[in-house]
Amino acid sequence: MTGHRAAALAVMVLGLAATACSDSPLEYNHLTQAVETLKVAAIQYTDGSHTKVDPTCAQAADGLKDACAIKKYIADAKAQGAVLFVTPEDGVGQQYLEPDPEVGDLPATSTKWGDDELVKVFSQQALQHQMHVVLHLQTYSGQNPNTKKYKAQLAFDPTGKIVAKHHKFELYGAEANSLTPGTDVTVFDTPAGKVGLLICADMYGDLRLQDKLVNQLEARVVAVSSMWTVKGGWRWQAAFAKNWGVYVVGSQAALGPGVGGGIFDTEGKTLDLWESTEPHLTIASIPAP
Amino acid sequence: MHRTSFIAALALLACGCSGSEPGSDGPVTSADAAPKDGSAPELGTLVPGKWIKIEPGSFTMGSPASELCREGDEDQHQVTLTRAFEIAETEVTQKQYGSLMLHNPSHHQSCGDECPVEWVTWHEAAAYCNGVSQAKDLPPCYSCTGEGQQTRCDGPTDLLGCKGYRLPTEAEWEHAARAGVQTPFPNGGIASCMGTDGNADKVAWYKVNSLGELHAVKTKASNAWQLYDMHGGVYEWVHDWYQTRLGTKAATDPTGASSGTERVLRGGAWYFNAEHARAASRERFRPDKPFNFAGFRCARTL
Repeated sequence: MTGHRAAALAVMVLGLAATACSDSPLEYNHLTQAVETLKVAAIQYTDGSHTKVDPTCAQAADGLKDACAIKKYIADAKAQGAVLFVTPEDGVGQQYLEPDPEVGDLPATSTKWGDDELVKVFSQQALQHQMHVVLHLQTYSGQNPNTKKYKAQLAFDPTGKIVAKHHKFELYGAEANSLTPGTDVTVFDTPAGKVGLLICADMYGDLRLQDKLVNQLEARVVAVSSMWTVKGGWRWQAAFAKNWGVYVVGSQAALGPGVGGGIFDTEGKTLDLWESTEPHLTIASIPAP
Repeated sequence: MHRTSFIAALALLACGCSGSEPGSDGPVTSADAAPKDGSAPELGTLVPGKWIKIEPGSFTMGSPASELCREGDEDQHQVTLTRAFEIAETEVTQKQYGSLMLHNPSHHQSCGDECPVEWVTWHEAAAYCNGVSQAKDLPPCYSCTGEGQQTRCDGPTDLLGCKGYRLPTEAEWEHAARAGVQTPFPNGGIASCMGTDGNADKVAWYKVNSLGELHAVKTKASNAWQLYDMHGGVYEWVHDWYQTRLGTKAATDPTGASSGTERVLRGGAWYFNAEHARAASRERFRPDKPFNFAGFRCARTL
């Protein structure tokens, strides 16, 4: 990892310069012509692990303790030059369900969101660190939090704007009793190319949606937020990368024996892997597009 | 080097042991010839495998409305198969595929020779069955061009009339998988669509017990007709073009839609939940796309 730091720092500096000017894909493509690799990061983190990361996070308000810990990983990832950071499925404990935001919303600088709402907290993190951040949380639409609920991924760009939103379409087990499934897939532009969003069981869900994500929407990287429930969960992330010829940036929350996640190349080879219930930042270089 | 240039030469390697003797007391097995001195077969030759003879008969294809985990494309209907056929005892292994086709495309090569081959397209599966035909001095059923994953094959106009090896039809596959029982698994029903399922555990490598890895064939129990890994392991390409509705009308010797964009896959795989390993469960995809959870087995009309 150390050997990649110098190059990554160079990328980080370039990334700061570029993202401060514009977030258009054209600008990113122009930027990345100058660098050979980019760093992407994902945390392997289970909600409630905040004191393992930083004991002072125990003092954070309810609903923000995991966010306190994850902020430190975001800062660390940024320091190592990452341009993309992914959080796990249900890895951020929520005090309450939050309204499902819209693509284009800018929570970081809007008073529409309170300072204790995760959507605002992570939007501010993306802005502060000038990087793309993918947050998994549960949301609801409509007036009643108990009627239409989703497992959602929100992608924030370096301005804090929500540039993509994904609802889990392959609900697992009892999730189908309480959640509304998504019906489509989406991508967003980053310096690492188009990044697609998938949540856990989506990896073995509708093959046609996976095909659309890669072959129609042209995802080059897929950010997977998971809470895999069986041993060897990272192997599905690796297999998915091979099946679709994409880089997988997988963030796993452990549930029972479901431990482990990482970053995999387009052949399914491991770039970085963490197979433990202990919190950890996985980070790896991938070729610039 | 890939296999295509060997096809003509293989026609000279007929082993003269094709087919199974007819029997009335259930399936009969036969085996391909092994080298007489017990040595490993040379590249470009057929690695021995066992074939199970399936007698003509009728069965109920699809699933009842009451079946747990049922999907909407599993219309239950009566099917009669008027011709006996034989089908491989196991999914084609990496050793079998590599020996005949001169390369092993599998993602999980570290799994070993006895693991099912995967990362093969429908076309490559058809070309392998052609290779088996030619190794056994039988006419190839498919017309194939190209090599490796550029291989493209067209099916015969009279699929069931072809005497060579081919992919089983969807109906043949399900008849063989059910082995005379109507439950989702040969040892009973399904209790959990996505979690641990006791019956699936005994006959299938699937998501919950695979540890995310491929496993050797014949390491789970067979069905009553001595066929292994019809459930789990790798998805198996079958011959048919996919059609959403199988219909509820009785059918005789069905071979699927006459054209389409997706070929059918059956049996579930290490990557998927037990629900997909049910005998009636159907998957489909473009025939030119390989997956590291998809392989096949060959069959032929007797």
